[in-house]
Amino acid sequence: MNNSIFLPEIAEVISTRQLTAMEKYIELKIKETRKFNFNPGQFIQLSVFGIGEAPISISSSPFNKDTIGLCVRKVGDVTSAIHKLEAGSYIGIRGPLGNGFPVEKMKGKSLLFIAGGLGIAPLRSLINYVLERRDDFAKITILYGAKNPGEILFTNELELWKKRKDIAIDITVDKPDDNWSGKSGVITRLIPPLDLEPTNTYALVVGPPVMYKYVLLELQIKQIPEDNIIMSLERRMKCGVGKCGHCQINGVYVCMDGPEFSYHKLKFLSEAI
Amino acid sequence: MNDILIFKEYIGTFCNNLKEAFTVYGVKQKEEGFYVFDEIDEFSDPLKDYKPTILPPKKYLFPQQETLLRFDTQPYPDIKPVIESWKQILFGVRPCDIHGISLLDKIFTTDHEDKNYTQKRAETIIIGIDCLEPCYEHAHCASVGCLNVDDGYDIMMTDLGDSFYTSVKTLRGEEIIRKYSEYTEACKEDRERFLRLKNERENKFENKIKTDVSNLPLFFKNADNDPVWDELNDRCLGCGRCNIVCPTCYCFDVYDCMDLNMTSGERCREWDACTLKDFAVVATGENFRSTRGQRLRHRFNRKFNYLMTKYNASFCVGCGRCTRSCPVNIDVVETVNAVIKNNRNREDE
Repeated sequence: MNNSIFLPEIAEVISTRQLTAMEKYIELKIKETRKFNFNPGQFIQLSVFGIGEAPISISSSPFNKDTIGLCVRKVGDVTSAIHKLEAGSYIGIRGPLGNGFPVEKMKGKSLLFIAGGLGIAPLRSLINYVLERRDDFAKITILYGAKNPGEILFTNELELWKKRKDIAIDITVDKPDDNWSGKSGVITRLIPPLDLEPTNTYALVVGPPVMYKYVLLELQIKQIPEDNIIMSLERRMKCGVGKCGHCQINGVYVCMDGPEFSYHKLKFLSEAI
Repeated sequence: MNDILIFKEYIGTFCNNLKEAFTVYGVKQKEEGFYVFDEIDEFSDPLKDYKPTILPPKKYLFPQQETLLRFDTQPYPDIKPVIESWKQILFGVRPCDIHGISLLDKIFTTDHEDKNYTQKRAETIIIGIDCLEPCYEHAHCASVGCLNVDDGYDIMMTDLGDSFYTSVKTLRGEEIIRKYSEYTEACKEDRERFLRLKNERENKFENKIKTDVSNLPLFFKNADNDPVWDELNDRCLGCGRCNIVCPTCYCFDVYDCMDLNMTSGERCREWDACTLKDFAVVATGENFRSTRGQRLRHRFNRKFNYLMTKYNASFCVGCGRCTRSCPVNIDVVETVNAVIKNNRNREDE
């Protein structure tokens, strides 16, 4: 009886950290004494009992098997309830779900991370993975765009990444304020100046739907092969296991076939972006 | 077990006997011309000429609302799966609806088994009633290959007038026949009569779709920008009735309900409909199928392309319920034929 696909396991909130006005980072530990193995880019269905369930991408490093880190934006009922949780609270999780980024195929290649807004959350998991295995990859470039300086996530970590000599990182905001000394403008402007080796590069792109269209254009101008452009999609999900129909894009299910897709696959799906 | 005859005078007794061990659901007339599957109290003869029920019998396997979990949050979360099932018989199911259930069997067992469905299915015995005449004008079962049914039932009965020619497909079907029914072995003449009726029906069921059903995925793959979706966009109300009455629609919503004490409660699922406006809205507000035309296109593609390609079977079983229930008379056959015709016209250009 205990193999219902809807049965979550219980996790304890270990810590919470307010990142911005809208985003909170929460760290979970599952109660079962097992290691939580996942691929960067996978997600979980997170339950606040009495409120509901929502799909949240995993933001922590897959090398950390003891806790699970999530960056949660307050946008709906479940995420608002998550924001109210404090250390010591209990929630339910199902997962890891989905497939994650094709890390094996990416080995030996240069990586171009393009994160828009909350898109940094799932990419952070992958970035931490590749930084841990730095020698497995060629050039690493991280582009990160936020609406305004106040919405930049993981600022401490960004500072650490900036200090590293073995990666390049560039950050821009759409609307700078008086204290902002960095670049301003949309993230797509960071792409043209890059010196890329297109066939040897994987572009990992996560951001709001509006960003994809323009980023794709720039990446195609750079002649990155369609198979090497990987995007992660957001959809509403009620089951996470290919049944409820909510995340379906044309013939594919984001939960089962994604949430990461190559542009080669997505370009045939009219409802994708 | 060889084929048998069950005389009509014994059908009532058979059905009533089944109630000793099973919950028996059969067809009742709700009002003139409208039929429903409901629990049978006193058996009357509903099997003759009934039009497709308002809702298909899938509701006994995948109920409109269903509890998935019960939880208590205090002092520490205690979560229990809820999988309810009981021994049930669906009595008098038409071939189209048997096909519908067989397709749901595929859905709920593939990739991740959905125990809430499969456990109910395992405890369900299906007694089919074959169709010798088209039941109503909206039926197009023959066009989608769903008039004949070889699997997915335990017992199949065919009306010979004074008796039902009865083929028993499964062991558990045989068990209930032996235990609960009066019957006689069918003789050679009975079999000939049965086969003659089956033969005669072939001409009565019109092939309404203007291509072989197996070609439909190709037509739909090429119809993303077909004008038919613009036309339907202007007519469709986005009410979701076509989804709700469909034997193969299985999309659902999941929600939590707290008890009055606000510490314990349930997680439930409920039928949802991909033609409703909010179905594909994401948290940030984008709607990836924001128009009614796009949502209908999605629904038709699920029936004739996406799921059909994955499972190699039409996900429209031809019952015509969607056409019957559409408040603006959107007709599934007309729509499919328009897609075919527009494709052919594009070929000509």
